[in-house]
Amino acid sequence: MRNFVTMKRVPYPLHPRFLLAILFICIGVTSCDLIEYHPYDGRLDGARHLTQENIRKIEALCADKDTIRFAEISDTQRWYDDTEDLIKAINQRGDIDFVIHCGDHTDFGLTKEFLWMRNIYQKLSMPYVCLIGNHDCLGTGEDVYQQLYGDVNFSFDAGFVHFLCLNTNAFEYDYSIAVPDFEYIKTDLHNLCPNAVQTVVAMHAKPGSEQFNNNVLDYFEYSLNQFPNLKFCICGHNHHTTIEYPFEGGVPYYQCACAKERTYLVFTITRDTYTYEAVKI
Amino acid sequence: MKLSRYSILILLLLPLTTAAIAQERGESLALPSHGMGTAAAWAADDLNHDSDSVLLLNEIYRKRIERYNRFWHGLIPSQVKLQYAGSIGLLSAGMGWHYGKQRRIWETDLMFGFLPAYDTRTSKLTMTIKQGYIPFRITLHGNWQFEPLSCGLFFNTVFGEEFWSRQPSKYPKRYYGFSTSVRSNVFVGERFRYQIPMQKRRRISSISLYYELSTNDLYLVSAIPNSYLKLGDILSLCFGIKYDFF
Repeated sequence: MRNFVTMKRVPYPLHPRFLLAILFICIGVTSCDLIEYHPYDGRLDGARHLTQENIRKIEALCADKDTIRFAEISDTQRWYDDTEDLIKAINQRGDIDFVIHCGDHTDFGLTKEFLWMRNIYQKLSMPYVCLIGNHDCLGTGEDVYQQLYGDVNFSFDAGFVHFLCLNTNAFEYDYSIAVPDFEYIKTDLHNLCPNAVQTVVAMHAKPGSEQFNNNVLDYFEYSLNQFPNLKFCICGHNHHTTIEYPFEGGVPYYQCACAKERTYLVFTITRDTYTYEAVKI
Repeated sequence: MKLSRYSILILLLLPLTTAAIAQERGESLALPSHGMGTAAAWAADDLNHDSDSVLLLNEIYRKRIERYNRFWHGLIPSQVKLQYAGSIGLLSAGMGWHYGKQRRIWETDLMFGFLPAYDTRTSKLTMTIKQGYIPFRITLHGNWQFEPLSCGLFFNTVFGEEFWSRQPSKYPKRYYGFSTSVRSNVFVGERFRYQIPMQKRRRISSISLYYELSTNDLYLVSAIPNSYLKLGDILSLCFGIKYDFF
């Protein structure tokens, strides 16, 4: 008899009420951070479409400036602590107008890696733009990059300087789409603002690198030279700070080391000249 | 390619588990010939028409058929699972086998998960092989039991052309030294189990509700050298329900 009463009181797991309760618990914890559907699930929270938002800020901030000072960081993948320190160091200077990240935010292209890194960049006190690196193309990485930041090719004008940011990770695309996208470069040149009298080009992998489509080296150089007063190019990818001249008689390519080297580059551009500085923190 | 590689893994894993299950079930089941498939019944039928000497000789054959039946009987899944989240899909379902000498403390599961597209191009299908160890079982109240620890490993693969288990041949050696499709995970969890009273049983013998916390290889290599990443960042929580047939 006692047993019978006990059985009645204990909820039977197949009872609809019981299943409904489980459903509610599941819905309740969905908002919780511990719920993950897959490392490549592409479920995002927080700030998105950051490239457009930050470009607006940069263009407003630098509109009337005669001296543009920006910092470059690159290849921060899986070095979260070092990246945090770099961001802190750049913030503390107080003289940087904006920051360009030359790609490789993630090591494996995982969704959470993108979010962890974005949360660090969001601590920057100045606007920033992020390029796509070859590691960011892995798995669903490119889709996530486009949601978080925006198009893989973009450009903006910081005062009198035109910044052209290009996806050069041709190796990741098996030549199925145009990398670098000359159609984009042509359109960008066509729509160039007359105030932009100097040009800086940013990319992840520089010409000659195994990621670059080296079949189009000469045309790439030719295309960039069409831009007014091309000053220099910045890049990342090789994890070392270097200055190289991939094209004879061409502009220098400044490469920023990875975050592990705890190095960032600072460029100061005036109407007459520019200076370059590598800062190790 | 990926599927075939996985099927080899399953083929290697299954005989081991089935051998254990078959041994266990063989002790409790008296292998009725009608229940064990037509092969045994047919063999027994055949033997009845033969002379005594042949019958004696064919004891070997009968034993082999019995052993054969017992082996494949071990392959019948003893449980099904339905799981929410846990890094293997939004919802996953699968079947599995529980086994162990005295208590059912080992579990092997084969699960399939569905992952909606969210902010990526396509929705995806995943497959998981899971090996669990559940060493304790405490009776709480009546037919309710509590299993304070379940732990183990699972390997998950996600299907889709953007994922590879080994880097494509176009890359130089060790360019990407990991697999984008296959994740190795470890988990710990707990369960509540309700044993359905014999007179109420229709199809299943017990129901378990479980939760598990897991993490994978890539999260671990990210978190270990970085104090920026906390334990909560790399853990993944899942909820599930398990139905035991027997």
